[in-house]
Amino acid sequence: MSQSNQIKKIYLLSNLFYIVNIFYIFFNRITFIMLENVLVLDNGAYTIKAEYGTAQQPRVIHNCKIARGKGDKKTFIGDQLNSCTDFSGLYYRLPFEKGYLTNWEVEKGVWDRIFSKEVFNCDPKNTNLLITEPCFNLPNIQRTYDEIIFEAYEFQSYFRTTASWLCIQNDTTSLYNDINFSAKPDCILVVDSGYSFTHIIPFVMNRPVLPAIRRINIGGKLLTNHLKEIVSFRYWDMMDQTYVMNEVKESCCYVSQNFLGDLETCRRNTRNNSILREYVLPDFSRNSQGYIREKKCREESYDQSDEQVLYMNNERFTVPEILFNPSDIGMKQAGIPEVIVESINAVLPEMFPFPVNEVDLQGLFYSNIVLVGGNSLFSGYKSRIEKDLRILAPTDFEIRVGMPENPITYAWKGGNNFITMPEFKEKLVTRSEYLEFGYNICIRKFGFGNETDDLSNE
Amino acid sequence: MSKKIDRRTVVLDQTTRNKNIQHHLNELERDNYAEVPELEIVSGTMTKPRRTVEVDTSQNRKTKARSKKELLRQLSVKRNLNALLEESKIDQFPPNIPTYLTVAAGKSRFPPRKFCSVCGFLANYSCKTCGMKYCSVKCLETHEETRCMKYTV
Ligand SMILES: [Zn+2]
Ligand SMILES: [Zn+2]
Repeated sequence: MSQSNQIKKIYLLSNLFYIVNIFYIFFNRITFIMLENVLVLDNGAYTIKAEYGTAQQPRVIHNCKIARGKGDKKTFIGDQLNSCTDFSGLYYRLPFEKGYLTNWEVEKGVWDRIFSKEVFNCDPKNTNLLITEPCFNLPNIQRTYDEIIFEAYEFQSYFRTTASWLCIQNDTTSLYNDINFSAKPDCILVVDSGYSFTHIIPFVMNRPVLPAIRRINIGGKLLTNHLKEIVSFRYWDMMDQTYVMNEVKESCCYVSQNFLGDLETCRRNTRNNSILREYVLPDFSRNSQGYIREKKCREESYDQSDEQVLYMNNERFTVPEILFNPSDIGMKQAGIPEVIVESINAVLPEMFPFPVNEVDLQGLFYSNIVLVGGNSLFSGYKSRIEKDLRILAPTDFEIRVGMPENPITYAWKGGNNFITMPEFKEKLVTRSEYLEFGYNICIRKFGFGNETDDLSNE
Repeated sequence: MSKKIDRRTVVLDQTTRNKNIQHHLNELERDNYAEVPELEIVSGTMTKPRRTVEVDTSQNRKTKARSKKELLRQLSVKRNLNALLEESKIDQFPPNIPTYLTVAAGKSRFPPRKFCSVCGFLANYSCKTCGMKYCSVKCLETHEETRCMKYTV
């Protein structure tokens, strides 16, 4: 069922294609690229999703350095966090600021670690790298990527693109339940809600429509921090417990389908409140995990244990609600469904390579929406977007919203798919090309607006 | 505790209230609640012993742009996103070229909802001093004791 297998099968079955491909390989400048020499690295602000081209799944590794402020003052880099058992009082050092790579000292520390024998055992000189960068990366930051990759690590070749573009290198039509032929749709709208922010990105014929892309300044980090703040104000002081609060968020929070109704339910007493959850905080001195416990009625809850319990009531859904109503915390931006409409309306027929009418165009986007990024994992996220879009979009449009099984690794999967296509070799810039032509070759091949050449600028 | 006296006499104007909201939104972007003890964390992956930097062997090499050492030294100079935004000069791009600065989504066409800053339920009232919302006398009391003017410098 895997998409990359499907692609590989198509190649093998189609003799003609196969022969053309062999010709291509022998007569072009880049020699044969073995998939085991390709490292696909989705460099997210929160986690790195990376593996060699021969793998089926990426490894997910924290993209940060963490130090413990007290006790042994131990530092954990990337995957080493898995060996950490006490998550209290940790200091984070993240390479990204508001979604952009600004701290190369931290990033290089993490990359040194993951390229080492301990993790990927990567020899850059013999490795072709496919790496992601954020949407609308700054030109000066892009230049630093080139320098680090070619001058500091000396990779054999590399291609830099956005995670959202890699997402649509998957067969997105398989995300919808209905029967269809699996031709790639001309229009796809990607909603990428990650750690730093949320982007709405319309693609036409595999290219992003840059003037129609929109960013909402809300991501998983802000949601965790907000939860941390309200919980600290209402119950326990958790301000120093980002790691724990992130776990609470992931296990308790959901997107409400009836916000005002759920808010009313939360006013009821424990017995009749179907929303209230009791989260037992981890006790690191006893090495215990946090978990949601069975609700206890008032009469039996005579303190028999020294468990610290967090009562998660309206916090469960008012936090993810910010993605849909940023104004709830005073941010002057519209929420995801409204911005989807705004973005689709910003795609104009004249941005198209062929004549198309505006209504058809919008219809194509509404029926090819793809949700990716960690925030998609909130239960109820997809159905709420569908529900809100049904209200906001013109009634005669079909609304089709798809979400991959794993919205976090979907970009990596798309990348893993893309490296089997002949276009991949065309996109790669080799180290010798870089040494000869400098940054300009990267600008030309990767596209200026970072998104492999923009459709509207032609 | 002198704040308590201030609260009764001072009324924040709208500009200050907006500034407080913005300050709060910036707070929500923080990686750490407490300041990071810088020295304890830098584990020296990029910083080489200082004296070797001075030994310049780049002359012997081919005309490569710069040495790896020099590159790493340049990159260890920390610049935040604002500094990089300024350096990128994307604010001077022609208006028809979309950039980081132009793609921020606009505001909602629906009016903002009002929630109690204490308990999180719907709120009908705003604090006369700071403008934060509250839903009941009980929550107003809590607000006055703990939150009111908290974000004011
Ligand atoms: Zn209240
Ligand atoms: Zn007040």
